[in-house]
Amino acid sequence: MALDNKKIKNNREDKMIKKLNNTESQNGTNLEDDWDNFVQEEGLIDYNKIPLKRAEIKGWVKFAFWFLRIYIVVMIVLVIIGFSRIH
Amino acid sequence: MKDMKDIKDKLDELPIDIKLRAVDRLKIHIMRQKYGYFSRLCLLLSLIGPGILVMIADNDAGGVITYAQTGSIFGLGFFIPFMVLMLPVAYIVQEMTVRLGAVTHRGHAEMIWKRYGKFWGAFSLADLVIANILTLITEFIGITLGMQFFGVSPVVSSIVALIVVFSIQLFLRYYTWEWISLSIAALNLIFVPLVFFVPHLHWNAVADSFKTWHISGGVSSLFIYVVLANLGTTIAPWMLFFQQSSVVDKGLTVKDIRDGQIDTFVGSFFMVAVAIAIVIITGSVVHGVQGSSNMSIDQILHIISIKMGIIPMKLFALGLIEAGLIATIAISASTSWAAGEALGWPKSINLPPLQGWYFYLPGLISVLIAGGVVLIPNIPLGFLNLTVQVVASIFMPAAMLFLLLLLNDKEIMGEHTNKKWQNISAFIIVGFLIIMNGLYGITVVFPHIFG
Repeated sequence: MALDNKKIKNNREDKMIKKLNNTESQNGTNLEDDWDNFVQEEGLIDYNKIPLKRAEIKGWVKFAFWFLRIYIVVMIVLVIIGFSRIH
Repeated sequence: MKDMKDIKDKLDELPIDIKLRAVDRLKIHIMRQKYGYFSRLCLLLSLIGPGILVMIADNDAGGVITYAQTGSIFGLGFFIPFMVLMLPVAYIVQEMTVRLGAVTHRGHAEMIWKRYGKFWGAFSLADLVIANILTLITEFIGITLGMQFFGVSPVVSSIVALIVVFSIQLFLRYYTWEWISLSIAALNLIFVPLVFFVPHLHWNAVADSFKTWHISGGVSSLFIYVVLANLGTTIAPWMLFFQQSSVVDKGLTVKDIRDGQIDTFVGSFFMVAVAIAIVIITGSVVHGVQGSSNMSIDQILHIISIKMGIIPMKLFALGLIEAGLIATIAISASTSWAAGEALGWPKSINLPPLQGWYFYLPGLISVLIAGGVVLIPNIPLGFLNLTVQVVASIFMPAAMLFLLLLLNDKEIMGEHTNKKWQNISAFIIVGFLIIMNGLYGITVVFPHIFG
């Protein structure tokens, strides 16, 4: 069963790559030479291995974060009041 | 033949989930080389999915119940043009996730976690997971309730729903998963033709609602609650996480942003069409009946069966089941993606179950909890809905703030940062959300302030 699945998958890949070899559809793009560029452009990279830089919090962003903290606290207080009235 | 083998070898070098995505992207690459309207249409059809799926899943069981109750309380008036207004709201918010996903190739949880630190990352993840579990419970309530109209017991319907969701999540690769989910989602449109079964429907009243924006009973605490509930069903936190992760898992790139935008617009259109259809049905059939301002969904269905007939009522119930099922699939996927992104695990529906079991685990556990909780007798549905609403209300402005910060971050978005009109629109939406949440909070503390 697993072997059959592998065959099906391979057939799918074969068909795809045959299409790529078709000069009419290729339109000048040669994936064979340009594979790295294709992988890069399509984002086919393991992004877990590429670190993302921490954003600098300054200016109006700092203000926005303080507003968010206050908003959350106020909402939690309102929720506690609301729920205490239900029970 | 030599280069064919080389490309195959290169594909084999990639991790399994990325390899499967590469095969799909090769297909897109080939389609992009062709010219002509038909080829362009085929390319568009291959690229659409996340937008339609998120918008239709947003018309979930809770959403269907909210729209039905909105119509039965307020009739044909304010909420019909209000729903039309929800189209640009949903589009503006969700379109940002398409650009963010396509440019960064990372999900929303990962972006918050890594860009703004562990505290906000953990806050967002915890809030999302709690809200998702509670929402999933309401989806299962919708599924079991709808199935009861077909004579199926809650235990059987809950188990069947669990098996269906587990199978779809675990055994399908992204491409197939998306098409099966879209096929289920198509059933959501069942509410639209049901409008034509409404006896003596006054289309003039529907048209007049756009002129008058009439609020039956005037502005009250109930009205504010219903506006907030409808806004809450239109833009929910899980939607941001879902669509961005879905865009990433599908492998959309900056070249596909235009198609992603079309996808999101079409999805928003379907969502609003379904919402309006439900409001028209219950606004015409249920509104005005004694006690219509405080009816449960089974009472609404009962009145639909009396006034429209058994078949329209069963189709409505079928729509409710579908709404619960598609939302369960989408919400559990959003939990899995978010947990994977935050914790740095491989995160793709392309992962085979044995290799990616830890990716699927958070989503499936939340489904299991919801499927079990719903079987508890006399579950407080009203309390649950309120809690979902509250958690989402606290979280949504926070999630929107992170979205706006990320979309204005030139370092990561480059030329794809928000334009001025997008920022203004998004700020208006966040502002409206905060004001409505504030007003609702005030009505909680002072219940009779608006009468």
